[in-house]
Amino acid sequence: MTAPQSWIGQRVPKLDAPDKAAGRTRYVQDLVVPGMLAGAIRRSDRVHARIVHIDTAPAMRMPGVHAVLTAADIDNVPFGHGKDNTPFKGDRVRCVRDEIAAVAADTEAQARAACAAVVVEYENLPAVFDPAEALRPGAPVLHTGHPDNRPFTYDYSHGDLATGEQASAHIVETVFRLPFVTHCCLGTSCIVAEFDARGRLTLHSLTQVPFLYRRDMAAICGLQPEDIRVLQGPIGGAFGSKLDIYPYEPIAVHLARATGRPVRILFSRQEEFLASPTRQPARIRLRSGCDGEGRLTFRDASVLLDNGAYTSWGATTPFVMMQTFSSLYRVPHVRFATEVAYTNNPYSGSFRGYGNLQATFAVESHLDMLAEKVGIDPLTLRKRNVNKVGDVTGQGLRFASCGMQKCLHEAARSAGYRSRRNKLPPLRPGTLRGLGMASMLHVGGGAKIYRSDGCGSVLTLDDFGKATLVTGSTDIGQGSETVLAQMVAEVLGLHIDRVQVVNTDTDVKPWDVGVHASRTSYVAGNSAILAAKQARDKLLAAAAAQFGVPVEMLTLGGGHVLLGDRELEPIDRLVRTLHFSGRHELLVTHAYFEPSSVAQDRGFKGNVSPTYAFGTHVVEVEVELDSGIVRVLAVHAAHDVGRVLNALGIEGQIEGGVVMGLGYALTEELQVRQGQVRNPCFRDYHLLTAPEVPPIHMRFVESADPTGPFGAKGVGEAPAICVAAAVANAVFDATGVRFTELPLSPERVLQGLIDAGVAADPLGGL
Amino acid sequence: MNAAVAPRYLRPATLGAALDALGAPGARAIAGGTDWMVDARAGRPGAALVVNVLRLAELRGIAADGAWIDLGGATTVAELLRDPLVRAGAPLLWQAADRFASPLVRTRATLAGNVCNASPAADLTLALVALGAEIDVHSASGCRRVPVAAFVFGPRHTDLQHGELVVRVRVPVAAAGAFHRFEKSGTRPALEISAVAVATAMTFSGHVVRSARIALGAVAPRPMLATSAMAVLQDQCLDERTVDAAVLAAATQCQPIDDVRGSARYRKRLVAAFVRRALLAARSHAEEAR
Amino acid sequence: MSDVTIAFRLNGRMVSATVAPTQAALECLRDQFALTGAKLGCGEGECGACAILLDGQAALGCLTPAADLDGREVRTVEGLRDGPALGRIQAALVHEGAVQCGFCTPGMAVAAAALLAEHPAPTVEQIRRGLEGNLCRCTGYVAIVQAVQTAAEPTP
Repeated sequence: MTAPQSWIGQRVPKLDAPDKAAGRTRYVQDLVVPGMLAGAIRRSDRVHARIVHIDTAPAMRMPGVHAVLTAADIDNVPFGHGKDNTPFKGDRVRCVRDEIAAVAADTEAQARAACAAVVVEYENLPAVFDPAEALRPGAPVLHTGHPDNRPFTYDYSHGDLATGEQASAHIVETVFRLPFVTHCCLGTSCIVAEFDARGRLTLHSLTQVPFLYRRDMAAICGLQPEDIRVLQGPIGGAFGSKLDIYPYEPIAVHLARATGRPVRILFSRQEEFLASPTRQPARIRLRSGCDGEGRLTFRDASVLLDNGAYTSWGATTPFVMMQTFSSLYRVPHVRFATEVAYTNNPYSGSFRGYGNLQATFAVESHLDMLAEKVGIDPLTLRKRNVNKVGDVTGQGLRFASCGMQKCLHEAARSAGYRSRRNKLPPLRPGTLRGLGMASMLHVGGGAKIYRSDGCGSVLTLDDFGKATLVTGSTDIGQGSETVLAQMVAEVLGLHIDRVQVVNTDTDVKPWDVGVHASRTSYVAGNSAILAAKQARDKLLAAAAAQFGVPVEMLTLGGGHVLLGDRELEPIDRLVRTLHFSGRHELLVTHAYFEPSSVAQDRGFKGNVSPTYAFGTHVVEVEVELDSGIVRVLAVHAAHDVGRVLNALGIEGQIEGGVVMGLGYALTEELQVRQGQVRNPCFRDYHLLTAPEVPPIHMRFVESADPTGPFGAKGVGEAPAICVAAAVANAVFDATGVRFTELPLSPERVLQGLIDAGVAADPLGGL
Repeated sequence: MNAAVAPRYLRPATLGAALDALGAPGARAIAGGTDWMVDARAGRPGAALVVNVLRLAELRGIAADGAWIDLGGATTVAELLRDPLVRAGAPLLWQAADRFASPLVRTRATLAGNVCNASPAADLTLALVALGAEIDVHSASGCRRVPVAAFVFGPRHTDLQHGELVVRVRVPVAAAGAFHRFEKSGTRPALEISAVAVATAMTFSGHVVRSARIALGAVAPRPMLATSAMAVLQDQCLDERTVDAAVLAAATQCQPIDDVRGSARYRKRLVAAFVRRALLAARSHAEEAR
Repeated sequence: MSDVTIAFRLNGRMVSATVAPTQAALECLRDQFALTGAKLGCGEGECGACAILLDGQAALGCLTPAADLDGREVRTVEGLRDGPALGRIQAALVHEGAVQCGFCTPGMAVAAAALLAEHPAPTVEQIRRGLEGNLCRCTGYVAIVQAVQTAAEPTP
């Protein structure tokens, strides 16, 4: 690729794409370490039971077995956000995932066979699967530390609800139900644990948060953090699923310790569906009000969350949900109350959007419902309440940049929303067609949930003029390393082929809190730019001294120091001069960037992110009246990204996020019944396939964030967030039927259409 | 037979050798292996001897045979899709093949494999039942010809005796002006285990139904003929009353169950919807033909 | 002993191997030949990440008995390269931004190769149907379809 004027905004293929397309890339799942044993886990056969006895002797006798471990064999340290999970379950099982024993053997088949041979005696306990039932007195108690089964509650408010209700001319109230869905990363969960001869542990891991992971794994496994090295190589997708530690990980460490050999645990696809964390299901009761002109007056949200048997990040999704309830559009009075209840269901983790899909579904459905009551079109109502640059919301979110108005405008224009909504004629007999709109807001530069939300960078320019950025941040396939290379290339005036990014080894890279909250472009980007500017300043100062020229007259470009537009000196030669003659100086710089965001106060108030992403989707659907199938004919997506950094990359993020959101809206549901996962396979858990993807029309709004790197903000999560709400609004436009539960499966839609008298029951007289 | 013990494997070069091998205790045939490998990977090979018949010349090839199309049992779904005889002479089978699994499976999955695996949701078998197809079943001691509809009993249960092999599949050539329509549930064109599938093959004399065969898939233990509906349609015009009666009859006759892919009630609704779609399309087809 | 000895052409070279009857082609290629491009995504034929070419046609490595590789022409994603350079489809996948995490990419490349061999000038609909057995969770398929179109265009 010939060097463009600027690397920012270009279509830059990912740096790792050639190796991936060639099939050369070794993922963690491809790793073969000499002497590696295969680990497998024996999981519970019951949903809630006392473990009476575990007999591992039959497993120990099986061929190829090196070790069989249970809770009794290790220091079974509690971990997790609720400190209620343990690597093994020794006295009680609380859900179908529960890890009772683990085996290390020569082959995976032998390890799994030995796991099946472990004999477990149980005594069933009464189980509870409905979070509302779990909160009632007399419900089975899951953890003795929480006899009410309610480990967490969240209460937030701004303004005064009574005032808001008084001021309302229209109020709508709805219960929304959001289902279990799961990440379905193409690469299944995997870890390789190996101890060296000094007792130092190396973990080949899929983690998104290597430094926090190192610290937490040390505590769980009885090691010092400095004795753990985390290698986070290429992974087959994450989407938030690798943000927490799951029992299989310390189990692998214990097996490695017990056998003195490296141990790999790799989930089968069925195991992945069963034991990988889900998106947080939710029951949201929302009351929303507006005045006679459609100006929002209040929101009152009561949320009930199924925590499952143990606590992972799903229980913290209310932090994100409340940002939507409090700040998506201008709302003067908001109350948000969440109860989180233990059940014997599988537990939820973090998943792209982190509670925002659920909250946005409720909020954006209500906007259309309110518009209908007021008698104005939904776009007008949204515009009347739009967030604007400079706003400080009731929760303290500060919008230093805000492209929401433009997003509404662009998405509506692309779809012909005003002129086509409520008027779309059917394309085929027996179908109805509609348009629906929804917007979103999400953090775009991380979220201050830890002591630091920062990222470190170390930048080296070598004797050949090649820049190496060692960044604390992590690439999970989204292309962050390419974007960082673009930024370094831009500042240093290098061709991107001269920049490489290293980010895989905690022994080498500086600290970063991890990949989440759409923070990487913003935080790691700003960090890289700081380090690159220091390097630039060093080069220019050295050139100024060497050539006797005022430093203000010098810039970098095309791999050279430039005086005006004249090439003064190639950068590589300048570096060699610095290195080998006189000054004996290497060109190494470092920086740590901490965003300006603040931790929230006890009332959850505070500007938790330095920047926020906004977006609007308009979806066109066709509803088939005899089958209930909803086909998406087009998606119009307008996203405020601050600044487009990599045009190729950002299109891929939007397209992938939209398709993920469509799956949540229409085809995906992990069917959990009586604590069992009924569809743990791709055959019965439907991701969208290529023929099902509609045309996606994208518009990028560049609102130029004042603190974003080149004005950019993070949008990793944004495109998945408001799709389902737009689909539900479109289905309403087409049919007049309001669906409040996802997914809009054909069966559910057909039933709703028949109940509303919009479709005839194909069974007619039966 | 201990299924946990690794089976032996043979790939005989001739049909005779294959039939001899299949006579051994615990022997079974595999062709593409797309059904068997799922079980084998799960540690359930279910056989002491696996006999690979995929490349046997006698099980391959598609040829016209008078009023029939004669297909090898090991004809892959991809071969069905490419063949002009099938496209023109058995459009219903072609349509079922077009909605079958995925391109990656179609290159290996075979016609006889689909029949012998006997899934209640088997799409190819459904089309074969609707078409009145027959199979030629060989053993070391002879051969017999059986209608597919009489060969499949229930899930994984067929009339295939030990030592037997389905060598040929015979499909009646569609009459000129015949109407064929394969309807399948789901949001995808393929890669879907049918919650409901309906295969319809009809011929007309003017407006009058001369023959009607409607087969319903995934709503009974095996692909079933909607005989009540077919009786309603015989020698009738497809007026509103007849269509309604046929739809009702088909929906009443099927016995779907609740499972992860759908409730029984939704499946009955889909049967009704698909039968109606097929009959309305058939009516238009008959009108256009005049 | 029930193991079977097979001989086949792999990415252009004659090779042989000894495999168990229940072993799949995927594990044979990954474990015995260190060709880890084809991935285990589900082991049940539903995701396409294990796709390989058998006699020019795309098939699932996870559901093809390794024993049936015998006598065949087998090509994996590694064999789509043009010497040291990427093949047309691979280069197009890179150029069009169709690679994010990349786990599905080898399967996509193989499925696309088979598609283009049969339909050298495919319609968009044919491309989408041709890839319907390959799941991707990252890209939404748009760039992948675009890449196959680009690869199909005649070289000027």
